[in-house]
Amino acid sequence: MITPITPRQTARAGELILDVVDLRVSFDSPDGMVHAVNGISFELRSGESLGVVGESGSGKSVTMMSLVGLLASPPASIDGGTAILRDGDTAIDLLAAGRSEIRRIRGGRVGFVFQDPLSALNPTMRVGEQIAESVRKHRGLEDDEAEAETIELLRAVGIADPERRYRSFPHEFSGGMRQRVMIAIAMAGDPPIVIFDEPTTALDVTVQAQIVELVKTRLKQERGTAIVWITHDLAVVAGIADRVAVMYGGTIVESGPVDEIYENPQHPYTRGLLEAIPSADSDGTTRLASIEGSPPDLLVEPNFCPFQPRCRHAFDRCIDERPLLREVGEEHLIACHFDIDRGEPAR
Amino acid sequence: MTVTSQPSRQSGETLVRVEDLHKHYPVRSLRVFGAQESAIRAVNGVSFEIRRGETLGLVGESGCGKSTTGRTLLRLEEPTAGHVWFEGVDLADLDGERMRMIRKRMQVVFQDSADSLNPRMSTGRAIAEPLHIYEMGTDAEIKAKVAELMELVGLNPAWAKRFPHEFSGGQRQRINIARALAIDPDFIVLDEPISALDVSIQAQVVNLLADLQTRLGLTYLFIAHDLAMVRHISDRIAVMYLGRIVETADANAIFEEPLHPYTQALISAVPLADPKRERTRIPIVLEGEVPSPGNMPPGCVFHPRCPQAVDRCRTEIPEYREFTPGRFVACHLVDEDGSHIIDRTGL
Repeated sequence: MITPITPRQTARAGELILDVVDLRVSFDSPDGMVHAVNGISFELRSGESLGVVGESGSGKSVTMMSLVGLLASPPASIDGGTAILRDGDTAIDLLAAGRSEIRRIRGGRVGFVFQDPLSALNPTMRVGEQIAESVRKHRGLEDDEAEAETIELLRAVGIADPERRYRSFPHEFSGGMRQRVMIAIAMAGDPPIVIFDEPTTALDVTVQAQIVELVKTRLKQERGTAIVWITHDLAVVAGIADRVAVMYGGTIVESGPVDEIYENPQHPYTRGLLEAIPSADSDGTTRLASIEGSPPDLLVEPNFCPFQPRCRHAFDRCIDERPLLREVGEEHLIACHFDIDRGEPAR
Repeated sequence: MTVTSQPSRQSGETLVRVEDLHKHYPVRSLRVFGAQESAIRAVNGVSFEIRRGETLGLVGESGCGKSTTGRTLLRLEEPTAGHVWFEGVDLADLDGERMRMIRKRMQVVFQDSADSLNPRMSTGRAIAEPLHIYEMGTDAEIKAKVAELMELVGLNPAWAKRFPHEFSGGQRQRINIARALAIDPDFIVLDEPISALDVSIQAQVVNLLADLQTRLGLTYLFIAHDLAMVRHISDRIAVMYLGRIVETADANAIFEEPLHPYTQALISAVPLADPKRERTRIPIVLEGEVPSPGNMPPGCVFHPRCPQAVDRCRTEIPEYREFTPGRFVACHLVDEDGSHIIDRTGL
């Protein structure tokens, strides 16, 4: 018998399921200590989708990989913080969990989909068996049941002729189909959270549209899975996230409900990013507003605002003191000493 | 029609003309009765013009042949068939030395990657290299020219002794642009010049390219897959699918009134950095995958995935022709006055 896929019952919608507080991660490098993640705190509620936007080196991937034990240590070192994963009455600190426990959580409680499915899939193993492995491990199904469930999963992620495709190898699939397989693997354990790390960056725009649609309908709507979508692409996030966190230099500089972030950005970096991309109606006659300067040097310990060297509103305090997140609207937080609407330092 | 154009940028004479360009790569496969030859038709009969001072955007998904078109146009690869005229001179008629002199006026900038610059060559030497190759000036003159070029692209001339690894991706792309500009070209093929850069840096490079075009009267072929950015920078856009151009029109017309069913699907798949509009955007989801350029479908190359295909599309290759001034489409379903697609699927 195939276990029917039903929306998750364990956590009620809106219930806090992941609570990350003051996460710090550094890397040992030949040039010195790289301060990759510098005190990040965020919450994830069941059924919601959180878009994490940042450029290369902002710490967005490192943050998520540290939560599911995917960072090699050394060179990585988790220097502080807690990440409490809740499920009903149980709560586990992901950062303190042992290796076997984290392996069980990964896939079973937190699914993960990467940018490059080819390196995540085993090239010598049939794709169906790779999905079935996850089904057996996290759902406790035996061989025939696992195969039947896998075929259902392949069908659910939009792979035509799933009985035949079960026996294909990863190289026989296109990039978009491989990403569908990765999503099937992430869905296999029916986890309450799935983290997507730049899942569509390597894909063409029409294939990206297919994958986004798939995640929205199969995971978000049908299963009520909470989604973390890591990307550099502000346009993709606008269509998938309920809430957005903007990262810069290993910190969250702004977070809030998606409409609020796009219509009323309060951090100079968020505002700069939104002005740096052509608007939907841009006819090319207006100039893009670029953010001058280069990405931050992570070798320097950030006792100051990481965006300060590129910020046109920066003043003394931004160099002397690192801004902490403060509330500027309902659930709208920024880490900035400046009040951008009033055009003067915040009180 | 809401076609808005800037006459001053469009009224230039034709600088580059490409006619029926083909680039096929032979594929030999051993069969029982000896070797059989087939071909990957990467570029399969492409024609377009670029006027002096304008930017033609060339878009399409991976494998559509847009980069090969750029490389073949510049004779970095020999075309299988077809002609390229530069200022009315057929490049095929040129001998080695005359080709060398004309190639000097046609430059290329590729995507920034670790190997786009020689890691052991200082920035100054890298920029000076084309000047030495074309023997353009004494050592002192070249040195002065390098400083001038660095300033032109927004780099500090004092950094001439630095090596590529000491620069960020955006700065390396400025070095590549300075190199391309060193020998005063008229025409530059920009092949995914910003794809590897962070969002905040992309705007810097795009603004730089626009400034240089205005100051130096440059003509660009801008090849990219980021459609929003292509729209921003281009005067006109050509859309490629499976080795052919399916539609060419004014940049705004391509976005606002796409005519070819593939262009319509492509544009509808582009996400918008606007959550409210994202909620109502309905992408046209194409079925199936792009066929192999080694196994072209008969008739219109797009017919197997076209939601509107009729019998004629399966057998007869549509002519790529100008329906209204500047609007070229290759589709059997375009109405005679070039205003819309005739829906025959319901008949």
